[in-house]
Amino acid sequence: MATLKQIRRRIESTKSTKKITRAMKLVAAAKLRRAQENMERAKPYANRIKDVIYDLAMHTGREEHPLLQVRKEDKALLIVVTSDRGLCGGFNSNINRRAEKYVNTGEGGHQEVSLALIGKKGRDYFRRRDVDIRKEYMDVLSEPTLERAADIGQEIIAEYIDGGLDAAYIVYNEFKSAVSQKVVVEKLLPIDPGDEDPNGETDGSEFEYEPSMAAILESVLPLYVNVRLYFAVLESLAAEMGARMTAMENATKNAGDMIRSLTLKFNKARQAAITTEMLEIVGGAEALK
Amino acid sequence: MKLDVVTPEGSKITDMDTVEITLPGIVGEMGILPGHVAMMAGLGAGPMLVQTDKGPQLFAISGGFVEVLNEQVRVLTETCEGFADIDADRAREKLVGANTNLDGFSPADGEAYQVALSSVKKHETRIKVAEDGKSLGG
Repeated sequence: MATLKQIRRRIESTKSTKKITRAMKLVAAAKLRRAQENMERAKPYANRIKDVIYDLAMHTGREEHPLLQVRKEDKALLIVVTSDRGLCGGFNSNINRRAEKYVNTGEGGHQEVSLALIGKKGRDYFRRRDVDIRKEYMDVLSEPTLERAADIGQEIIAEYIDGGLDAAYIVYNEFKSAVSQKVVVEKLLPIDPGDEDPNGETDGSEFEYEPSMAAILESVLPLYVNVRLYFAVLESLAAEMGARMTAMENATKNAGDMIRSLTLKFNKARQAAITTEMLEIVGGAEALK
Repeated sequence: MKLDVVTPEGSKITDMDTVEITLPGIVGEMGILPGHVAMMAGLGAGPMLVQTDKGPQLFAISGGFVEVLNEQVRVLTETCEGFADIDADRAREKLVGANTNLDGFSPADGEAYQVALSSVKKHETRIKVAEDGKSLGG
């Protein structure tokens, strides 16, 4: 049985752990709010460009640009968005396991799947595994901007046009709410304009293009890819903060429970010690008679 | 005719009633009047002049494209600032910086030169919008 001193020391250390997890929870909550604001700000732009892609694809046909063309998806790239830091519950392991499953079970029907990793946790996980890592982007999450996302988008598009890739998918944590995230795998390339008219406005009338249809496609399609990447990163960041908040809240609660049970144990041990001492004194006094 | 402007930083203009919009197209300035045919056009950096019932309004926009469909004008651009949002003195300082930067490149540098050039253009537009916007009395 642990001595009083040992128990007291454990209570103290649990208390300071509780303080830390509580502080981390508050920080995560503040960051979550900011991440959500970022997401809300980018949303109209992301939605609008999706509408435009649909209108464009409707009017031009998918064969007009390589980024829209459907080809056999032999060589696929899987972009895995994890976080840079841990202590956020199952956030990273859910993503990593999903990505690994995608690679190993051949679920997309690709001949080979290579990975592009955003976030240190994904890098640390896949470096120790037998997978083909094509690219690592480690400086995106600290300060996500559309420009940075565009750099990544350009690289991927260039390889796709080049024929080094036939498809690109992105796997990330979708932000459902502050307490729930969902791992999703979405197709990035070739661009899928969707079957449903998002704004219900497209009619049969022809578009006029300025300077030309080819020029418009050439600028809008890559922008769409970049915006989707950017938005996925923003969502993943918000989801990460949500996951961390939940994880830290649970940790704080568990620390509280542990302090309670340790305090009980401490008091029991203290009483037992007092009882023993009194018995000894009484025994000693009896012996003197 | 309704005007929407969205940027990656959020919606800047939502459902504004307009009678005429002048935009900086890639190949030159273009005006859009009600009843315009469906159009998609690329945009450069420059001023966007919006005529409304209450008078004209001026904005500085940079890049992107515009979609005109069913009396809806939708502009997607990197940045969109009204003249009141622009600090003309700071913009002038930035223009000096951008010009110095441009001096370091020649047209032979290709993309880097274009980037530097478009930065100069952007700040020129911003200064012009800040000054002209004031005189419009908006």
